[in-house]
Amino acid sequence: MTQSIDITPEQELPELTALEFVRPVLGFAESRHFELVRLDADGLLCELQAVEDQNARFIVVPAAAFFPDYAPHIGEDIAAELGLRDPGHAVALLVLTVGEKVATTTANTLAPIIVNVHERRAAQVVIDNPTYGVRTRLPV
Amino acid sequence: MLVLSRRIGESVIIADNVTVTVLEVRGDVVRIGIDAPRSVGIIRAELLDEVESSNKDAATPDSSTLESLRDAIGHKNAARRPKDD
Repeated sequence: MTQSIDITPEQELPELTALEFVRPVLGFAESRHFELVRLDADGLLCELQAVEDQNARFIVVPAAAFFPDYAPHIGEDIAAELGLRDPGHAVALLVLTVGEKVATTTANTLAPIIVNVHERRAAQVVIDNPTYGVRTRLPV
Repeated sequence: MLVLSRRIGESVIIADNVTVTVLEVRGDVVRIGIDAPRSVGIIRAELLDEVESSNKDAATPDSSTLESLRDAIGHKNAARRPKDD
């Protein structure tokens, strides 16, 4: 029986991964299969590209690298869909809104993409917590 | 959409395990209580719209900013690493 869990990701992201989204990226319901590709050597900046839709291309960062205290709480239902029995298997990725300059680039802490690295499954999960927002300043 | 009227204290039961109760009405704010198993996700609807809108903005990243971002992150990471002496 899966429980609801807090994601405290320490899992490292592999270099290239094909992911199956068990819950869609909101607004891109047709895209279920994505490729996660590192854009830098350390995997601190990645691209999440939908296989089915060229327009569904996101820049993401592992939350732990920029927000060390970030520990979103994931409900039982989603944990079960991701096949997550161990929070250690999960990584939280944040979608960046990359604007005109680095200083105005923000991260979506309200709806992280939770990845089960073992099962290669992912879901965008909306966390109903008033301290999180879709445009959180990225500490760079 | 099923539309019902409820007084304060009255409830509706959804499926067989979700109960929604009107707790309080104050001006134009209705306070509702939701009793549901932990496996059922409950979320304020406007958050979904906010996320969808943000995702759509995010799906067209500016490529020159992306280059600068990669550099900035690289510097930040290098500064963090312990130096080999």
